[in-house]
Amino acid sequence: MKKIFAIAWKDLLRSTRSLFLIGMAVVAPLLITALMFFALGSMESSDSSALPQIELGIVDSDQLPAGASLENSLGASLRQALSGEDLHTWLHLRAYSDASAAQAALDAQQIDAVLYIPADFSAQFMQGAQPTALRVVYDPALTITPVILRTLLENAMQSMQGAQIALQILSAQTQDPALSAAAAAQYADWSAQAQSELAAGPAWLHIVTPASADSSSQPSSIALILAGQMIFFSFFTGGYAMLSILHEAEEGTLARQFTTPTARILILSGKFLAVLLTVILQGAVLLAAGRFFFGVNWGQPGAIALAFGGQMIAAVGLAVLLVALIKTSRQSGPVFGGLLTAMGMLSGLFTTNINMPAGFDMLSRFTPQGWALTAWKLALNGHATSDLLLPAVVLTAIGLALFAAGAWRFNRRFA
Amino acid sequence: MKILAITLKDLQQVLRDKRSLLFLIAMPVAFTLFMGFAYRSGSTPDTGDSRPVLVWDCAEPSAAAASLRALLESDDSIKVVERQDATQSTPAGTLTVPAAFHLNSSQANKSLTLSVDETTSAGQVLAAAVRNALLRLASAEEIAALSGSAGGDSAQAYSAALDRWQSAGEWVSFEAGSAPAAWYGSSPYNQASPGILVQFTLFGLVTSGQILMQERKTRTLQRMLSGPLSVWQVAAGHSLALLALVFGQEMLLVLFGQLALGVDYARQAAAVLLISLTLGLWIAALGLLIGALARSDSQVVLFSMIAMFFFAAFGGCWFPLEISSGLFATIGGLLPSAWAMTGFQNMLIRGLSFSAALQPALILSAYAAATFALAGWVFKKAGE
Repeated sequence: MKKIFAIAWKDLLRSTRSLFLIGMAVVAPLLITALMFFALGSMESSDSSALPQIELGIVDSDQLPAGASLENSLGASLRQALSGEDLHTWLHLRAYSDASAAQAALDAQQIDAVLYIPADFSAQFMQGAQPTALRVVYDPALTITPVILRTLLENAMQSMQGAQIALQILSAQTQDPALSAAAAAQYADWSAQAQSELAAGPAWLHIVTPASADSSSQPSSIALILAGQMIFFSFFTGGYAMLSILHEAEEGTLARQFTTPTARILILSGKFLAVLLTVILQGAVLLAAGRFFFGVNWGQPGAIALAFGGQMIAAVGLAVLLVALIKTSRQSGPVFGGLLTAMGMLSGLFTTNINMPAGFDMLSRFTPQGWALTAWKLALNGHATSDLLLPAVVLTAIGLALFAAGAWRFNRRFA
Repeated sequence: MKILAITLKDLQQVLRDKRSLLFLIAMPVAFTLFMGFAYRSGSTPDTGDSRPVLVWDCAEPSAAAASLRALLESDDSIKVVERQDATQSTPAGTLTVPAAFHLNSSQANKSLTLSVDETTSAGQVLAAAVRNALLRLASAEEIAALSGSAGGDSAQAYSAALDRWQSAGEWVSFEAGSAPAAWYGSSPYNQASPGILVQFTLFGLVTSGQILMQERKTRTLQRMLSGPLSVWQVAAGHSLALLALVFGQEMLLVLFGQLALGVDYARQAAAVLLISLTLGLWIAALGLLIGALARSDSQVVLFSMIAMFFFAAFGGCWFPLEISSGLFATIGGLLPSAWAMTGFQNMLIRGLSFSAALQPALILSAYAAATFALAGWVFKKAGE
């Protein structure tokens, strides 16, 4: 037993001295989590500063008809509204004199969308007819920008529609142009106030989140991202720590160890133990970093222990089998990089915040990483320790089976 | 000739390792399919009525509640069902309306509850539809009040305003800008295929970087440099091999995208070739740099993986940069991987002409030249 610990301790020291392993085990998962956190920050934030910066081109052909009572055309009023104080931090307008110049700017991605205001917009509005619709052409590679612009412009159009309805009804009823114009102006003031009140959330409209989707009862995105990365890199770390056997075999030091009186099974056991300790150390650092840097509440202690333990056993088991199967340390790059990344993706480790089709959820049941993610999701959701028994048992069984297959292969290889 | 000899030697070395080759081709194919499914899962189904369903929960509808219901039903973006019919569909939200509901009444009688998950797109559509309907109802009441103060018939004004709102047409239309013939942005693979192509050509750096590493480890590089070959000839020989590998990998993935996934690379084949070639040049230069910088096989893997994750995530290969926050999008937009994505998207999603590939190709070439110069310098140092 003493010899096993001595070998494990030597390998563990070697691992902790390796900048490569530290980079892959700790720095990479934290870096990717932070990257994803900043990248997707705008999707979760309600702060307007997190909105995408939108460059909107405008081709305003609207002409105020002769003798109109309005001071400016509706197109000009709309442009003024869109360049308001509350929008200028994220909405930037660029005026174009003709459609071809605007289209060229759109094709060159200098702007995200073009708003075309037709020449007869004001005239038709004042006649009480439905005006020729404003036209917005947007960059088809964009997904959020068109949605934001739609909301913004539909709200603006709703105000104008309301003003037109008010003006027509009041004119028809009072038959007094001055009186109806004054009432329409009153309506315009009311409309602006009503829109801002409704946007701010009036006391009489309660928007509640259903319990099933209540984010306060669900783990934060960052917790899920970090859990996914922790699982992905723990399997990576296990594999690379296990590679020390292959390195020693290539350098000839393993053969020298086998000539000593120490039994081969003890040497291999020491190496397996070192991998387990390395993976435990890595997991502990990531759990602590998640708690202190990202404020992740990992769940109940018992649940954490089961998820963590199951993941460790499965990671070591897979590492032993993979290293037993590859022939040279050179093959480790593509095999670990490719296979573990593929298994990670199939297990949903990179899509923890996306609702994947049911088929993928089923696929994840065939990978140890998928079961580890299930366990961590349960722990992060605050489930009781007993709820994690099934994934922990499955992970342990997978880990032991992989370990047995790998150890058998090693025995044959070094017999 | 000597440069070509080095190139052929490198290619033979890589092609000999069948297992690594399998990963360079099979993995990106699997990932493209995977990411395509992931993107598709976020979109609405193509067939049937995909409008989000709002459950109308009102035990005793007042006149105002009936008007609100009529306004909601006139909105084409949602479907309204009664509570008892909700089991036949999957509702996105429920609007609970109190008995004797009226906007101008006491707080209790106008207190509405909308139960909806606004983090989903269906939830956002429902919430916007309810706000719109409420605004229109309030507008009708305001017009009625103004009519009353101006001596008109307020009841008639209210009814006329509601009718107008219910029949109100669209005052603003939206369309995706594209080439006149067709819009190419309808498939999720238009993002997934080039995204994974860029990511996995970067992953190929592992294999190519390891060859250079081996050469340094076995002192072959120093032996070559002691002969009549210059550092630049050796670097050019290796770079050419890297370029051939990366370009070959790109072409296989382009073919897979075209034939299996319906991604229309062939529409502007020359532009796709130009982007692929300049991307290959930059990645070959990066491979040379990594091979010269790394001191062990493990470091080659580490540097390659960091490069892959960094350039893929920041360059918009996993998701469009538009959805990321300001600083991230700004920095990401400057990276060569982002320019490669822009070049591919100009052809696949924006449906633009060959000329739209020139700017991305020029910028990728500039990145390739700068990286190659740096790699050559490091390579020279490594050979000394």
